[in-house]
Amino acid sequence: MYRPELIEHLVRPQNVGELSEPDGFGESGHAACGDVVRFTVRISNGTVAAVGYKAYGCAPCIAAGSAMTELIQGESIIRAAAISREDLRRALGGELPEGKEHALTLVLDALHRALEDYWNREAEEADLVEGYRG
Amino acid sequence: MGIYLDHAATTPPDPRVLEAMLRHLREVRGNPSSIHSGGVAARNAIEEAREEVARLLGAEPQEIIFTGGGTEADNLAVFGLARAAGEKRHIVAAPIEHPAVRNAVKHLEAGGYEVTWLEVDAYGVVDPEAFRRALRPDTAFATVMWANNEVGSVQPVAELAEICRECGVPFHTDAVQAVGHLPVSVEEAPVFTLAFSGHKLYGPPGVGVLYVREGVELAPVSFGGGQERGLRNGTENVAGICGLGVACRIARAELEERMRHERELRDRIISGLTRIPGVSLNGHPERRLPNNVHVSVDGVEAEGLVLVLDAQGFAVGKGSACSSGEHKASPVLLAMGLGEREAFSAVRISVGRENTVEEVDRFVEAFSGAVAGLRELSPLRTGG
Repeated sequence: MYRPELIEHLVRPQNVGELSEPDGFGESGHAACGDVVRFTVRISNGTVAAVGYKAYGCAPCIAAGSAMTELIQGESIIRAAAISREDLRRALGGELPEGKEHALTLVLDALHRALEDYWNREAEEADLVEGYRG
Repeated sequence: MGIYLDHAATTPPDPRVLEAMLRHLREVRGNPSSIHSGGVAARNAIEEAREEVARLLGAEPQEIIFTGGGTEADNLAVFGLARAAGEKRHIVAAPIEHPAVRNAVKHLEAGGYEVTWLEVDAYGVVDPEAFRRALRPDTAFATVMWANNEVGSVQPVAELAEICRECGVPFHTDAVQAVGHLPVSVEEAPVFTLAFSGHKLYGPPGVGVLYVREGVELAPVSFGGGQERGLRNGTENVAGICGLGVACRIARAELEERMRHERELRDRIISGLTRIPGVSLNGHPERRLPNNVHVSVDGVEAEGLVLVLDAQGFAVGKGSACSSGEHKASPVLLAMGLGEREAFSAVRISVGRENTVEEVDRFVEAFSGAVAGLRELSPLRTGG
């Protein structure tokens, strides 16, 4: 049903946890829907210096979160933000079973929220545009 | 070789079953409907198996219909009883039925039958008095399973069947999980029809049984060469039927020991798992199948847990194996009053006769570790 790469991420998930005082925090999903993914990132010189993730839900959610942390670790923010569904799918060994593709959307959304949170904090700090966050 | 703890999904065939099947496949040349000696040998093999099945159930051989499995037997009962009931178009059914019955009844409901879906208690058990009140003069038939395939609760089938007999309403029971694991007697439980499957009692897959009490009218739902009294048309799966006959003979001889062994392992697992905080047993604590453990694990989704355990060599089931391809909460657990999250966190462990105390102790340890790992991952828990 699932590819070995996905099972490997499920059984030995990477970068599990939450960074203290992260530069960016992003969460997607609802417990009521069955899946929640959360990323915390630390950014240094425009690159992802550290990432922590937590996930509750189906196996592909847990595995995709882990795979994503490996894909973005050490990458520039821009490259991290540009990671696509296809990149994530490939990291999990290929196509997901029918009805499980939502895991990719959820993980991408949670990461984008974490990066957006970082940019918002940066903007606030730089006192750029008032109300930018809105 | 891993440790198999999913016997409610399917059991490995007993070596004696395989031997009987292979012997038949190698040695017998003939269609049981043929009059030459090979055909007669095949016919005799079927009739011997029929006697073994009848002995296990306390039935007469002519009351046994061989089918292509448990689902087919259930479908034959549901549609056969409905069609035989003529103008009566009301059905009483339990919401905790296996899809083989539930979806067949829903099909009739969509076609205009009125269905009274009974309520069940928190253990998934039907109340006999509510059952009695649901019966009407126009009830075509009522159906409640012997024991639930997910949570393992055993229903008061003898009592329900007796109520139906008093009221003159045909009563069907799906006994797929019960036969070969509990004493099942059609003398003690006056059911009209009863279904079970070969591969749940160490027999082969692809063969099942519908018991049809003498005198019960059942309309055919398939048409062909008139095999099995015209109720299951098509050339018989003779090797499978031989294997099922042997499985029934073994079950009759070894039932007591099997139950004792399964209960011991089951209770050991229940005791070990419910010591883990946030793990709760579903189904009736005492009146449950001897081989069934069904738990909800707070803060964990079953799919990940099942796959993590599998990677460690333990095969268990998530929710209900039959609907495992869908992300839908089990209707059985929802009917029992569980929330969606509890339902999605449900895991079924079903032991078998080859499992050992040492294996289940290792399983409990692995389960505890897997739960801890997945909880550490969960953003919904803080410090749990």
